[in-house]
Amino acid sequence: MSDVLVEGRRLGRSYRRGKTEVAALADVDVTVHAGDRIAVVGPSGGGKSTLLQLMGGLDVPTYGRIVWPALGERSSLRPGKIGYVFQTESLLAPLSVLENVELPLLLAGELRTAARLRAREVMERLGLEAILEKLPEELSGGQAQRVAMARALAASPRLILADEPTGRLDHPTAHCLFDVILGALTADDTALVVATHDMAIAELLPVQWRISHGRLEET
Amino acid sequence: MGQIAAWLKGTLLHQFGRVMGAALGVALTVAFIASLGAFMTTSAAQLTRRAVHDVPVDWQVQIAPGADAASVRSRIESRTTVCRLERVDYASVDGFRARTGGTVQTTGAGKAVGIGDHYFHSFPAELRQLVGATHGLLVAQQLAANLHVTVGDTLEILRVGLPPAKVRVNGVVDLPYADSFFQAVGVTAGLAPQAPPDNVVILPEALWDSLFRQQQRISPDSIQTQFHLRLGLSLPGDPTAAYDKVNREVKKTEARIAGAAIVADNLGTRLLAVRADALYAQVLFLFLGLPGMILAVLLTLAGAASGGQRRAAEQALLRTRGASPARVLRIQASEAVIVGIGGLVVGAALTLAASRWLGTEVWDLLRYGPGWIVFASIVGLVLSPAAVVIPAWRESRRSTVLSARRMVKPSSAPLWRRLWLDAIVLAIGAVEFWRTASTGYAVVLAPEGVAASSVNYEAFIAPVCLWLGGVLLSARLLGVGLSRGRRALSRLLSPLARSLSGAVAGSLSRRKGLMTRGTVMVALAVAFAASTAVFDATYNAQSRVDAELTNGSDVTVTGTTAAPPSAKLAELRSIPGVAAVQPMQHRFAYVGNDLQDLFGIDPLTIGEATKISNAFFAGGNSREMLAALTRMDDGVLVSEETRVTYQLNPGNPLNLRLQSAKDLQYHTVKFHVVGVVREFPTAPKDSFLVVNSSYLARETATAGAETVLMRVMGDRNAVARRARAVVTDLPGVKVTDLGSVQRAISSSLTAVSLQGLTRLELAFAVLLAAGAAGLILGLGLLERQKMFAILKGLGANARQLGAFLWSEALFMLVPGIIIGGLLGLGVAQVLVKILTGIFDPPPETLTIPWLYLAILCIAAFASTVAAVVTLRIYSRCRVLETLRGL
Repeated sequence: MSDVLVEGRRLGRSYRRGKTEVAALADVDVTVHAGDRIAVVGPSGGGKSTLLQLMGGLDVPTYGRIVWPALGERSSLRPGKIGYVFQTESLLAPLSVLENVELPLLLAGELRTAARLRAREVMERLGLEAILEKLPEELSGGQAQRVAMARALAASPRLILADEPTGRLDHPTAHCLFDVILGALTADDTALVVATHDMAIAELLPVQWRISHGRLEET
Repeated sequence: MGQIAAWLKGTLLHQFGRVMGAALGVALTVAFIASLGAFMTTSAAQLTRRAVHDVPVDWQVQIAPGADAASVRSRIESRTTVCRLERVDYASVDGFRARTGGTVQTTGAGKAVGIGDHYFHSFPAELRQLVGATHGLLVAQQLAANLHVTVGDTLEILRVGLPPAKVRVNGVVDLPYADSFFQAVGVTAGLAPQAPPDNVVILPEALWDSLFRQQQRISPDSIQTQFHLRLGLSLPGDPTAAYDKVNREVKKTEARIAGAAIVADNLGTRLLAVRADALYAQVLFLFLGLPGMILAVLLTLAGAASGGQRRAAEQALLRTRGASPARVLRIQASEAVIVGIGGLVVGAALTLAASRWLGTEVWDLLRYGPGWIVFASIVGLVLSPAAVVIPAWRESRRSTVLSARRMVKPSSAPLWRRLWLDAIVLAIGAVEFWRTASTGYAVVLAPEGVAASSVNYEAFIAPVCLWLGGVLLSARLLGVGLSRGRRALSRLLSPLARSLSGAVAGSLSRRKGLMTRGTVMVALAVAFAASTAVFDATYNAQSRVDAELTNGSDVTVTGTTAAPPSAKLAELRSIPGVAAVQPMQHRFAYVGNDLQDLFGIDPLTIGEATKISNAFFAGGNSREMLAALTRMDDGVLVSEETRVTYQLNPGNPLNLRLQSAKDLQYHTVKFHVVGVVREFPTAPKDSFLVVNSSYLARETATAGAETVLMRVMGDRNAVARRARAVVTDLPGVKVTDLGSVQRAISSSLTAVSLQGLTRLELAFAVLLAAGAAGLILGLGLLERQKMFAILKGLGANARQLGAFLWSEALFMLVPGIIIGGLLGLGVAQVLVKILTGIFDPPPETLTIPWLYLAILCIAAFASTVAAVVTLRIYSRCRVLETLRGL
């Protein structure tokens, strides 16, 4: 049995909006093993992003328990063990593409020369070597998301959480991006959890979790 | 309308801090402009009021010989706003005689003045009652002393061409304004004797008529009739405008009474005299106040513009939801109007508080300051919409993605940089400064007796160029430094940012526009504060020097040759708290036909009781100059004016005519010129002489010293009180202390304006510096909240997030303070040089107010820390909220 990266039991997360309590997640059980390829699908506002944020340690559940047996404590998950891809426009505008990609390595305490070397390597793997010195505002939407994926991969995490990475891309570009992502992960046991509302993208992955009104059902 | 209301409600609910920040910026600007402007106009109005109040009689209208006084009176009263009008008759007399104590005293020529019963009431300042009644025959103090008469005695008036008239003395009075009371009306200044008569009696109108109507027939030239008037004009606050109004009234009146009477305009003369003071105050306002106002406006604009990114995003969102560009603009303008109105309300409260703090009455503020309050309000109302709507309008024109993309291409350097405008402006400033400073110009020209006055506005070119050129050069250097100095910056930041130093340096470098603007704003605020503070400190230091020069020492006893205070030297020395006492002779000597002040000193010991500065002497060495005077017994130090007028050089003989105590006649005494003295304690500003006291005593046959200088260790007031008690029996002896002299010097409008102006400016400057450092950083960083959320999402810890924040803050703060400090010192130096006329004497060096500058730096630093800490807390709270939006 491969390592358990994330294990959540009876997870619930609710937010207060004015006087109303909104339940974004309710009694969700999740387990992610090394090498898993999981798509979390469901309508917008169904709880996909909230689940990914809990799994990434960005947020804490209102109730229930979540642990990262093979990764360690919550405070040490990012950037070294979990890579996170946001929906769009998550590149830091004042930094070049290369600087954006090496940033998680620097945040993890890598030396600058080693970080730069690793960032270049990942970018070459994703076919991004031509845009190393560009600024985020000079990139197309597809390029920006590929750079964001490269940034998530740079620190060689055990788990990548991608929140609607193709949400604002057209179908051909989205498929192309996904091919690149999967290609980059082919030979290793990095787990990938992708939140998407696009079933065509979700079907590229072997496991789909359907989440609706905060409740999870595995398909 | 509903959409706008909903937008505003949302903005106020969710963006309250941001709206408040922008409103505070507007409030600060409004308050600064309103309170500064109102203070200046109120001070000028107070000066005008004081000047008008000090004039005992506004006009003296002298009736021409043979003219009908009643007709003149009715013509004056028919058109001019007159509060009080009193007839005054003047009769020249051959003298006065009195028999007292078995001897007969007879005086020289004098005046007998006839006044009405109400004169005392109408013009109370003209006559000061000393002894006896205020009606009947009143004798002037000097005449009473000359004749040895007092109340109840009889004296004879020696009328012209008539037998003496015997009258009984009812009272003794002082005539504090004898100069104007007895002025020669209608005679060009300098052509008539200016000294008022010593021998004067005041008689009731009826008595005067009975004694002198006959003399008028015998000797018409010996009689003059005047009307003394107090006007009821409502004068504007500005002395020049007030003078213009009074002058117009004079012209109107003169036209009506042409040929029958002429007007002596005491009120106009007084207002003319205070114009220079008012003009200097105006110049100070332009030099010191205007930059602050411009800075406040810039700061508000920068604060408002720092929300541009957020507004652009909101605008894009509104456009995608179908809002037309005009509607988008209306929505954004409505937010700006809320900011403007909020700013006005808070600004009005701040203005009121600032005015109270400066001691301005609310009534005065409302009476003289509405112009400035309205102007400041307009600036506030226009400022925030302009800062918001113009960028929004520009944004609305970038309607396509393609055009937006074009914007991100690296743009070329701004035009001013390509044209080297900074270097050109600085060069112009340097040339202009050299030209103005080397030609002995006067920034304010208001010659006495001439209605025209002017301000040399050309003098403003140098400081304006220094401000502008300095700011542009700083922006260039910062821009170049950020572009080309990334490696160096990275190394500088490495202790703070460690492995992230390269990324942080890159981030700073790529946002060089924002960083440069922020740093320049901090620099401007610090420069403004520093220049004002240094100028004020230098002015205050020079005021003290001026007071020291005027008073001579901590406490000074001044008397006459007949009753010299040096007679009480031992008693004065023994007063507790007195550290040193030095006698100094103060006589008068003729140099050719000029009567000049002559000071006799002991060069070896004079420095014990007074400060003898190097700046007092040409050559700049007081020790050498006093030693030279000691060596040459008949040595004399002459003023620069005397040296030039009489072509004197060291070693030249100089014959002075001095009064001898033996025969009270002037005799020629030979001296030799030792050097040139520019200033000396108690000496006048133009011509005077300094000699050895021993030689002077020998040659004039009297060793008495008319002045005693006292250095005090401790309470000057107490020593002055004790000194007054010691010399109380010496007639005509006066004791003054440094504090009272300094207070008198500090009562001019220039001094009052500078005090208020700097007080207000220094307080606002701290707020502006803190605002520039904190507000821009805070508002700018709020726009980049997303960046910190991403960093947090990527796993940055608190220290790493802090590295980005602190690096940015320090980059704005440290170079901002250094550049601002240097620029402020430069501007202060230029201002001191250009405004030399304000300083008396001109300063040798700048006085640096270290404590204030330290407070300023602390305020800027504290504000930055507060902004960073607040932002960190705010960012931490909103990470998830922001991430959810990504």
